[in-house]
Amino acid sequence: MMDSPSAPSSILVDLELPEPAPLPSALVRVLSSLRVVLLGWFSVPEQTSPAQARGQFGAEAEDMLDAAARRFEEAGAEVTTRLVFTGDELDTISRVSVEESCDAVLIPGPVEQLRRVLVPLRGIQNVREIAPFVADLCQDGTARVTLLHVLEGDETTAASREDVLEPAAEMMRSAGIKAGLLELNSVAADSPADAIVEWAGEHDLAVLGETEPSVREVLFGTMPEQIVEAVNVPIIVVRHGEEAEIAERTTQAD
Amino acid sequence: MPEPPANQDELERTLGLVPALAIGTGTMVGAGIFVFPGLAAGRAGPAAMLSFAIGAVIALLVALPTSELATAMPESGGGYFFVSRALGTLLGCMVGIGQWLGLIFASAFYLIGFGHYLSDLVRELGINLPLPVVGLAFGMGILLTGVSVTGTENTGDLQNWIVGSLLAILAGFLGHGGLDALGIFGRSQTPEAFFPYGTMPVFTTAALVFTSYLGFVQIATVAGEIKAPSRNLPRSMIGSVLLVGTLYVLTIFISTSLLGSEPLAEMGETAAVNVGRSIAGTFGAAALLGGGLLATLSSANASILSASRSIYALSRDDLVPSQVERINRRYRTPHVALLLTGGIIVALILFGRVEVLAEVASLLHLFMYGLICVALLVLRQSPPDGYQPTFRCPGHPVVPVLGALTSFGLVAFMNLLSIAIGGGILLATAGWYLFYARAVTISEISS
Repeated sequence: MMDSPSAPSSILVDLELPEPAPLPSALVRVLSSLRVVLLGWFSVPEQTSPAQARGQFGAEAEDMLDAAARRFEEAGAEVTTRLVFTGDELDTISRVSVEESCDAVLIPGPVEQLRRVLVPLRGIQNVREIAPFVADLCQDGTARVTLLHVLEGDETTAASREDVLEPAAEMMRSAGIKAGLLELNSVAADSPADAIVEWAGEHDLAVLGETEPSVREVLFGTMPEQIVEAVNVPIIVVRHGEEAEIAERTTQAD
Repeated sequence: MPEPPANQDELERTLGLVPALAIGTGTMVGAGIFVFPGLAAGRAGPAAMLSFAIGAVIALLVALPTSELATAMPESGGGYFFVSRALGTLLGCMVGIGQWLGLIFASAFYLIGFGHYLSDLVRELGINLPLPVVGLAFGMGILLTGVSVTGTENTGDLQNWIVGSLLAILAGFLGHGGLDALGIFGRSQTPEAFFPYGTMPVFTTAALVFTSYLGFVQIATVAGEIKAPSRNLPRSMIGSVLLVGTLYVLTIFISTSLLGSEPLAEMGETAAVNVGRSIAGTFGAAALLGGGLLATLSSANASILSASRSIYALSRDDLVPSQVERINRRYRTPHVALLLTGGIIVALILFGRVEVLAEVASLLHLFMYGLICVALLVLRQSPPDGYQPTFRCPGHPVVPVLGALTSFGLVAFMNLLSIAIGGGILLATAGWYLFYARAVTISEISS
């Protein structure tokens, strides 16, 4: 990772225009330690040329987007805005998240404050990406972080601790999260989704890794739809972003 | 793509190669297979195959120059955009309004085809209702306009699906029918002279059926939304012409071999249903009946959408009043343009002459096609700044010269009424320019 103190992790927040769903102030505050890429999208049916919609609604959409951006800025976030007229918002969200090298994508939900963050893990693979993100998110150092490993097959609790939870916790600590704030748990469940939904109820926000499911799947709603629909907290999907990062690392190495 | 827009508002490119091919194929395939075989065979006999082949050659001669222009100017607007930038506002205005009306005539033609299929379906089901074809087409025209104004569900996927299943149905029938027609299954042939009515009808029929090749330039009208346009535009335009051209020629070959030209002519617009019946019995008739309904409807729908988009390109350049491009806030559709388009379509349906509608649609498009070729010649002669096509038309200047000559030449083989109506419309568009848009100057190519 190339996290320096000057570049906080970035999150993509999408906003449907011209009538955006309300962004609760608490959510804006919770994200304020991050770089926020605010993507306003205006969906256009196929009968309409996107350029035509831009001509008529462009100024209005820009105003809405700027107003939302100001709220993040006032809360202290670094904000980048993008406005896209599109016939396919999912395409747009994936494309912009890659172009802006966003570390994560937000799926909004009600939140009051950030005291407990749930980080469900399926393995150790993408903790490397999740850890610095969670550290940036919980920058003020007060939120407790629950690492939850859902056991697969005949995996034992001991193995889960040794192979997944402990190494994950180590990565979290080295990313800057205080050891005292970490809580490690492993559970056996028939359906990982159900377990996550149940645990999310006790938390303010959930951070998922992208390996499975992908951002597109979350937004589209295949398997994690159960989670998104059933969970009453915001969900942040940390992107896998390997191509983008490998490219960046090689250019930096030069 | 090197395009970080100066203005931060972006337009998403969402159409890949397959959707682009489906736009072209979906617009074209309705007519050539499901409406024209009876009419064409009645005029030219088995030589109608040549008529369709002539159409395909002309379409290809135009598709190559269009591909170059579209990759140089991958913006929505298509033929209008190229001609207005290369040849000036008067011709641009004539081409733009002409294309809009051409699509309207084509749409009315497809809807009447749809009416024939629907009335055939009712008859096949044994329901004895006096449903006039024109009435059915009229009703569908109103319904389709309403759906296009209020529909927010994207039918793009549906369109892909329709085109896919049509191609599957056709591949099955053409494969089996082709072997049948070659005598593989030992069926007795309907021996017939290749040119039962002489060679002249081959050309007049080519002029009539050229409506079957109007779809490929529609791909250029949505060039602004196509992903990787330098690769996907030429492939989808040329590919869709080759695909439908092959299907058309095969269809005529099989239809005339199995049933003979005269019986086909008597069956009229829905002759394909009987071809299906002769290949696979009731199942075949049902499959082609269903295919005909889908194909004519999808062509009509695609033409309505293209028509309303083509007029947007004109209003963007102030060649028509800006009210036309107003978007309805609730449905986010250009309701004025769509209602205007739909209104003229249903009025034309009442006029009801299939052959004239088809020819006028072709004439208005051929005028544009010819000028697109001329536009390429002009731009190659003195390329303006920013003219950097990533696809270059092969065989320059022979291909665009032939494209222009054959496009304009084909018009001469149309019937006089069609030429009079089409010519009158073009004069009227020139009049519109002189009275409304004379003061308009439009921007250069480099945007």
